[in-house]
Amino acid sequence: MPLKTLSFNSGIFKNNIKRFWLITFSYTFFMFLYVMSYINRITERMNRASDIEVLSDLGNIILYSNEGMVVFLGFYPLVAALAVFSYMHFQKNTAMIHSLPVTRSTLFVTNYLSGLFIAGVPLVFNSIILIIFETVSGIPNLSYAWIWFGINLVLTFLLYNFAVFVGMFTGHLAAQAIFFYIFNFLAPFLEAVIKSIFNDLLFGYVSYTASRTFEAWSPLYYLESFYKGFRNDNGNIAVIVGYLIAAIVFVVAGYYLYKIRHMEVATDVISFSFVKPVFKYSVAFCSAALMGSIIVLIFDLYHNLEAYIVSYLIGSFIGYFSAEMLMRKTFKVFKAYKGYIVFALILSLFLCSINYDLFGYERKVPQYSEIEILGLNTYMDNTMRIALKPEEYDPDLHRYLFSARDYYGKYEPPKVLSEEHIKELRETIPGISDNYEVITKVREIHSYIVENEKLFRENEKLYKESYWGPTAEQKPDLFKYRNLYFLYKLENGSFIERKYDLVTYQDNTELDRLLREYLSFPGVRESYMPILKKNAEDIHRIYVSFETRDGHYQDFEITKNIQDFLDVYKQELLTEDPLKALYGTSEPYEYDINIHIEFKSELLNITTSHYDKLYSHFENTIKYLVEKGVFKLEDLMRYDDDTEKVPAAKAM
Amino acid sequence: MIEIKDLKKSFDGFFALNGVNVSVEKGSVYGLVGPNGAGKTTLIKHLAGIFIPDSGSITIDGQPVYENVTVKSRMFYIPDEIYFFPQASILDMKKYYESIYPSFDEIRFQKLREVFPIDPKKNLKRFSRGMQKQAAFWLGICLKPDIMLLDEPVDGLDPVMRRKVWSVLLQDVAERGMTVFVSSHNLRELEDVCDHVGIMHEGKVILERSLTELQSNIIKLQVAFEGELPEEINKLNILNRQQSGRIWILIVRGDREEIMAEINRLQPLLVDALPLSLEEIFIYELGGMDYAVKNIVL
Repeated sequence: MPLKTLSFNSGIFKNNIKRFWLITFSYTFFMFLYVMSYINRITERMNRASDIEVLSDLGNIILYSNEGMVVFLGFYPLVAALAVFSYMHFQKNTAMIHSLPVTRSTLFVTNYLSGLFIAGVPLVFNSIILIIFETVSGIPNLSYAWIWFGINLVLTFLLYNFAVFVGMFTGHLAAQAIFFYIFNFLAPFLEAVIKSIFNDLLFGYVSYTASRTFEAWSPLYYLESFYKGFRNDNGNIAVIVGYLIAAIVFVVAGYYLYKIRHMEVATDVISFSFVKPVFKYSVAFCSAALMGSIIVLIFDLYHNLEAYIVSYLIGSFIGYFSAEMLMRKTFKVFKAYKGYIVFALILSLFLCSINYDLFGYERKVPQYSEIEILGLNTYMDNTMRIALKPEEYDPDLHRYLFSARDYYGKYEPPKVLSEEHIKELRETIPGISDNYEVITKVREIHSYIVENEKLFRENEKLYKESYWGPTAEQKPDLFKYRNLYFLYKLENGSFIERKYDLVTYQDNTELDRLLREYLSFPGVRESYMPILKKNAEDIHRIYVSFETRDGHYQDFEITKNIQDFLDVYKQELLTEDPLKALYGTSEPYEYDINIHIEFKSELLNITTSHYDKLYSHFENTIKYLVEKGVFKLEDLMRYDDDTEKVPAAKAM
Repeated sequence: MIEIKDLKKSFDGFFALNGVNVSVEKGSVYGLVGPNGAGKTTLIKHLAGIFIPDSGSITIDGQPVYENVTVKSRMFYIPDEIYFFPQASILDMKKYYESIYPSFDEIRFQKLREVFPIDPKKNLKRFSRGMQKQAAFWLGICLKPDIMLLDEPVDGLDPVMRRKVWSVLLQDVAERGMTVFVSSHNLRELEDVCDHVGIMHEGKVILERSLTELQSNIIKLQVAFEGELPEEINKLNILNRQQSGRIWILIVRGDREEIMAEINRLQPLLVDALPLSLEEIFIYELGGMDYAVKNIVL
């Protein structure tokens, strides 16, 4: 866009500002209310806090709440773009404007600048008010107000430019608004859809991998994280730069598209013929994903490839021909069936390729030689991911890992994890090991699961039928949930993770056998049940709580002979099924007695306590507590005779 | 001078303009006629620089129209459906046009208040279609354009206002040499004002002549012979024939004197040359294009 070709028409600019003053006014007014509510909050807090440091921190409150800004930024830049370029979408308007002795360059530049003025002035005006207020009221740190202004200015610039850019592809006012919102949320939507398909059809797929990858592609969706980053002084400058570059690309592309746009496309949904196939097949895919997912959800058709294909084809059929109808402005579009057939074939092949694991994702179990370290747990453990992938550590998201207390925002977690942190994480978090025997056993468990996918799918089906099926004979308590999450860090630095929500049946206990063998390796069971490796010096407090015959609960703290108690209690824990360390248990009990043991914690704030019920088989522990006078059995509420009070749920 | 050469424009594969050639002299009133869908509005929108042609050229005094501010500032386009900004009055629109057209004449604007009895302060959206047309003419004439492009200009105007508008326009044609390019279905009206006519059909200008030439090239004859119509009369280029008793009405294309000599040679009982209206010329010319008026029996 050489500058010498650009020109500006003040008459058109003034006319736009005059015609669309209401947009500027309403935006200024509502944002003013928003800023005033912040000023009100900050004034209240200032009356309570005179400390200079606290005053300085008050400045960042503006970056806390952002719901209002999401509404403003998602609405007004679009409205400004719609207003100044609205004539493009109506035949007689575009005829009048384009018959004037003004070049397209001048028209675009003038209209673009007037829209930017409409969308930008309210922000500038209110930012000035904010900065003046903070200066006058003595807040020593004004940088957050400037950051607030800067972020919103960049986002206004980006979203307005995007709205203008999108408008070039359509000749329809409503379509411009719809496209704007669709594209704003397209990346997270597609990510969710693809993950949902993978999650359902790919055995072992971990759906939250890189879940934040596409957030920045949806500025309105990303806004909260964006604000939060700058509030905590670790804002993502790269995203700001990316947004600025994107905004410039949008406006330059918009300019060139406007220059070559055929004005007879007013009222057409798509204004450039080269976009029509893209639009048609994109709508078909999005519709397939949306409607297909809804049909699968409503009729509970999970793990059923045929049903998936039919549901997705119904969705794509509706989307494909709706797009044709919109573009051709007629209902007679079924002659275009050939394109749909090709699309349907590709979509079906795509679904088949996932279901039949064409790319070997499901079958992949890394070789021992490839594995540096691994983790195994019953759930997708974020801390395990951090322990194995310290580069994923985010001080804001993972501050809970550290035992230091967060008070008035004074405490700051480390910016990056040190070697010491990583070592302690790996030692504390259950299931992490680089031991040869353990890795071999975990591989064996993993391979068994992969080889028996059909069996587990069948079990799941049987389990569902036993609950909901009309002819079910099996009882649900014959099934066990065996959820497992594998995370491998490979020697080459890459990661493999799998997550399985398995159901086993009573006559198939091979998985349980393998898991027991795994838990029998030294230190493995203890990692899932840390109390087994704790001694008196590691204990902060031990509480025993119990229900007395009068229906009240009492707490008793064991302060003496802690090691004696631990010896008795641990001895009985070790006699239990080792699988309890992974999946817990729910057994009959005679008395409602609970043990709560708090561990001393140093650096990390994880696995800091042990809580369990004393089931009937903890005879020695109960006896020990009676001997020590903690309670008398005849004073406790009995549960074994009262069928209503015996726990109903068993074994899952 | 307006020169359109081999202009083509297609919409989704359909050629709305399929090789249009038009030539309009400066200071003339050029009427463009044609059936619905012939491409008249599309052609005018190209002339106004709104549409981008697929191929061909449109020049005014040798300068291309599209994206040419100098050329476009000498033109004003009044479409069939006029657009004014929402909430705008004539005074608002005047201010807008003043900022774009440096040639806007304030004195004319004041003088034309007498011609157009409409309130310039009133919201234009509240005006009837005819009143909006008046507003468009009022503003357009004040710009003193060299070329006025009019698409169905008098639709909605009452007969008195039509006369007033044409009177002012023709005054500009006479005094300033303004060129008027007008498309209309009202052939009776065009007949009164145009000096040149182009007939469009299916995206092409099939005929382009001065009105006088056009009228002298087709003759309407009322003839009667002793007995049947002689066989030799078929040597003439007869576009249409109708019989009423022994009297025949013939529409014949060709040189008037040659046709009369041929008819007289056949010794008719009666021969009389009648004036032919533009509407009749339009109907008979397009009759050859499979667009004839036919009796429809329902």
